[in-house]
Amino acid sequence: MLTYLLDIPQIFGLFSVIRVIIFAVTIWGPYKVWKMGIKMTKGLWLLIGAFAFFALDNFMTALIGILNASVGQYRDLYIGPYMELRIYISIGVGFGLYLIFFKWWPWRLSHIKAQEKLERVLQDMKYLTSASSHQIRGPLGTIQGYISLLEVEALEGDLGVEDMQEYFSFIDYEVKRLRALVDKFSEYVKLESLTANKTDVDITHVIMDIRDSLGLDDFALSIPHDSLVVLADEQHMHALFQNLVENGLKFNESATPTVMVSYERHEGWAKINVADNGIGVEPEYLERIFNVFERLNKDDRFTGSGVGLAMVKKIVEAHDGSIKAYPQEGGGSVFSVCLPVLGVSNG
Amino acid sequence: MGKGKKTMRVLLVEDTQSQVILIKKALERAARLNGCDYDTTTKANGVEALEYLEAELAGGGKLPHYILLDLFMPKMTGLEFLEVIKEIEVLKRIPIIMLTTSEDEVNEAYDAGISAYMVKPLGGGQLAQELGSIGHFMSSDFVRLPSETT
Repeated sequence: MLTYLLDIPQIFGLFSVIRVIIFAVTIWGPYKVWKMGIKMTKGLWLLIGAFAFFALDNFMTALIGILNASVGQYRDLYIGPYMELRIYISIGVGFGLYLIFFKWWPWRLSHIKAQEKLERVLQDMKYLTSASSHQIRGPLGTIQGYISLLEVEALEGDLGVEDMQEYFSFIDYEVKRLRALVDKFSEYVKLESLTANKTDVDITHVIMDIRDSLGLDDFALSIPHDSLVVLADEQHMHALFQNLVENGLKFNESATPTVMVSYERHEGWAKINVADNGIGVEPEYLERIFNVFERLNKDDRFTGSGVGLAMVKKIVEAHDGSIKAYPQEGGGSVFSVCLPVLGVSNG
Repeated sequence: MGKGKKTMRVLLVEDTQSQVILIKKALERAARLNGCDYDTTTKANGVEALEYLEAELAGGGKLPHYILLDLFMPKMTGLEFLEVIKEIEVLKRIPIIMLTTSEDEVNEAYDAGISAYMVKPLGGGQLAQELGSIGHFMSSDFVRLPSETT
């Protein structure tokens, strides 16, 4: 075989030697890179894959070349099966590469994505923890203050009954505030892990349910007569609009607090306006109100936890929608929720 | 230390009513400890406090010797208030004690020009010490307020 290989007229043989060398180099290079423990990037994997393919192709061609040379004048007889073999192996390598780049590599990618998501959640958690500790420290400080005040005044013997009642009422108020905060907080955290189970939801029905559960009449909460169907999670929609309606009625000094819901239909999406005649939002706070624990109204008459609107925003974003708040002319505010609708929203 | 107790004016900028009562109680104790009276004026937010100070300034009235400033308030936060007040020539010399629930923003507040900070709830003794030390500093060479008559 070697004599055939070195036979100059048998040009196939010479090419085969070159091909074997190329094969060795192309395999050796990536092997070396891999051994060096260089961090594999997508580009590097592609390069190695290309090299491997090239190397195998070369190897097969070389094999055929050698066989060609060795079989000499009978090559027409023998070359056929080996050509076929080369095709099979090429297909095999191609499939292998397909597995690497389209199955295995995306696995790595999703792994990185999961890591990024985890980091984002961690960041959120950090913010939430620092914000919530702020929120909790306030009432705790007040409670602590009143307890020591009670103690000191009792020891000194100048604690009147009225004073005592007042101090206890403050403690009670702060404890209730803490409790409400913790409740809302756990609701918010639950929302984080909840997956949206999207079905066709009629917003009109959802708001009618809210009206019934809150015991409101037609005047306090007016609802459009037509239906608006969106693809959404029904429970989420309930929480979303309940928060908006409650907000509108709670932050309200009007003699007759009212909330009015109206729809605007567009191609592919719909806008749901929730308008109230409440105390309104000052223009500079329109963005900030959706941050968790952002309580802009620290007026004691209005007790909010600062979680409701953050929840609202989370829900809207989970549904690929958007929400904005506007001050309304003549007092009150409007919260506009935009949600995608399949096709033209039906009437 | 004659019979006539010295009266120091304190401007308290705090929005929560329950806190206002607590702080006033702490001021009463501090007054007993320091042997002086604290005359407290309370304003619920930075805007109101600023209006009050500007009115006193314009009317040649009596400016406070100290300002106790809550950091978290609606309308105008403590830091925003500091920003404004440090631009006004006479007002910027009034020592400000910041009241806070945590020490997270203390550095920012020091940059903004506070003299001291205290973590709520305030103890009477602690407050007395804080006010005493700042007061001493003020009376020696710090500031003689134009409204002050000795």
